[in-house]
Amino acid sequence: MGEPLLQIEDLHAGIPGREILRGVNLTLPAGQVHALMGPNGSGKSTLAQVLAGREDYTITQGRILFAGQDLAALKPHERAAAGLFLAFQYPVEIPGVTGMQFLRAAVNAVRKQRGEPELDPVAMLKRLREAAKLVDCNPDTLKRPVNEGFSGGEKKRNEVFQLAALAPRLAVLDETDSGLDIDALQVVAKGVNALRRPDRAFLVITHYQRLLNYIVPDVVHVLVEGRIVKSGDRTLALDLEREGYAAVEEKAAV
Amino acid sequence: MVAVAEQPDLYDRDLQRLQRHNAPDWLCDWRQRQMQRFRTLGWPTMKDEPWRFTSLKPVMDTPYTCVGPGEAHAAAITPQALEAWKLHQEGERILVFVDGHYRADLSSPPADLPQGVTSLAQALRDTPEDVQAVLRRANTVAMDALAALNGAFLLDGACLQPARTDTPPLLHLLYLATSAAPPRVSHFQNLIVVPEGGQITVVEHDVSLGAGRHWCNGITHLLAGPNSHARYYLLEESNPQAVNTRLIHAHLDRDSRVELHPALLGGGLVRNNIHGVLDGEGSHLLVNGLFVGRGQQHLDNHMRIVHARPRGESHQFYQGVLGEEAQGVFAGRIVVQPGAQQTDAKQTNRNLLLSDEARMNTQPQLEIHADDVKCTHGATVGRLDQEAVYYLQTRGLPLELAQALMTYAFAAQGLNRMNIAAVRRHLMRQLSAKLPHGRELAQMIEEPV
Repeated sequence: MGEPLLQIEDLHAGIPGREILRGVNLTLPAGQVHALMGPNGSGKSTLAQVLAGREDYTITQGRILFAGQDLAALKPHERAAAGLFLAFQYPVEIPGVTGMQFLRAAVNAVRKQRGEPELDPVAMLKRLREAAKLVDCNPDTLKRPVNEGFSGGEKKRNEVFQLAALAPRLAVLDETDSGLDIDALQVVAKGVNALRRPDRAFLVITHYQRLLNYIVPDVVHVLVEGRIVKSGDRTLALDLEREGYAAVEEKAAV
Repeated sequence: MVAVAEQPDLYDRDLQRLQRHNAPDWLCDWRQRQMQRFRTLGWPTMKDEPWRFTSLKPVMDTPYTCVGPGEAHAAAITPQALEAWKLHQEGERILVFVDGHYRADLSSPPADLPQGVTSLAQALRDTPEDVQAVLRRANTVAMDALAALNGAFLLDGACLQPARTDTPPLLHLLYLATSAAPPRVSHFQNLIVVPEGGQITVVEHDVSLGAGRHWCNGITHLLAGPNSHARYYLLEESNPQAVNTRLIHAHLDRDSRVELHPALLGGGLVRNNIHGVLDGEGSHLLVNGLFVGRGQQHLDNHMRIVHARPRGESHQFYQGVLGEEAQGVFAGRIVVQPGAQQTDAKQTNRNLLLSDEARMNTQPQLEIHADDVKCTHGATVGRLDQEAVYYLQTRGLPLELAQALMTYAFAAQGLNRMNIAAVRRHLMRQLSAKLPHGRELAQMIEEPV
């Protein structure tokens, strides 16, 4: 087991007037894949957004340590530079900006913040081609405006491509499987598996067990009403599928 | 409408002085008649429907004078200085005008210019009957008072009647306006005649030589012959004191294809009239307007597209970006005349406001007198997409850069309809220079050459 890359301690967060996360504790070491499961409205996506730094949510108690650093002090772009990546549940379309311009801007923005020299166009193209190859993505995607007119599957695949290009230390996948057919799901999962490394961790947020057939997690956490009520190995996900969230909730309540 | 009380003596004096330049009788008559028409029509005011949102008061109150040939050479311009404005596109030929008058010494050598490409002043000397015939053909649409005033000072401009060729050049008309006291007005005309099956690309480029006031009141007539293909770009990049009023008139013969790309980035008070007439069966017109204002710029886009024959297709896109206290206007009207069946017309005006003080007035209109047609129109006024800005932030871009990139992205939808890479590159630079964090933005978006 590696060093804890992400440590969430007694995290309370929400929007004004409504607490959504009510004391989340979670430790994710480098090199591992953790799945976060839970029924609709349990706070899964809120946790993803709080990690990425969306302004709509406020942390009212507890803290998030990312590689020992308090995330609350960092703006979203600084979190990206620190090595955090969020794959969106609903990736945004950006007509007018090509994938190439977008990723070049992103990669160089991150490098600049880290004090690394920006990549020249040739080096950048090489890097993006390698990233595309790694996740089996057509590099022609780079010529098209970001996500514009993409199918659900293409958008999710593009998220994984961005992930490969930005090479973060922690990738949070927010319901990456939602809206995907089984073929698209396999392609996305294959891309994620190709990016697993001893110094990188994944937090895979999902409602359904089926994604975990393809991305096999080290640990499964169950989030119910803003708290992690149970953690276990991957068999926990199978139990959930068989018995439903309600049963697990009851057991946890006992 | 108001009586022409302002600056009447000045305009008359200018006209009398300029009439002395040995013009043929018909031309002197033409100018007199146009001046008479200007007097009859009078300055438009905000009570006139087409001028509801734009006041010409600043123009009426300023003694703009029109200089003649040889009087405009006050500014010393070196050919080296021109490099900054060139597009650096292969096949580019440049015609330079200072205060509306052609400067052969600054332009591409005559030997490099295609046959039939010359200044209007030269054409008026060499082939006056031909010019007269083109003017008659061109002046078939309703002209307002400003167009009449332009006609009264018909002196120079570009006269482009190239023969059909396999490698049509890119003709770059660079209009430089000086800052002088009293301030100057230039009333140039560009006459563009594309022969049957011919092709032409024209980039008209308005630039200020100083920071002072000037007024540019230009007209471009583009007569596209049967089965021809014309591309016309207007790059308005003059200083924030400048007034720019103009008319771009395109007349389309059968199966012709015309693209008009007016890009208004500069100028203080700008009124751009587009008048397109699809007067041949199966013709196709694209109007791809882009206007980007900040400070106190006032950018007024007025467009009238007439479908006069069957099976015409016209697509009009206007993208507006307004920041600080800038004001924008879009008034677009598609007219489908009786008999223009199977017309396909689409009009879209999308606007992005970057501040609470910026204002946009938009009025898309349809006027349909045929029954078998497909016409749509729509307009939106909105703010930056916060979700997209956040998306960019999570990918490593600081908030301000994410906002700048999204603003650029909005305008770029207009740029992406332009298929001359050098123009796109040029506008990309001009555009990013107008946006916050322009330098970093330019680095992000620069296309590899």
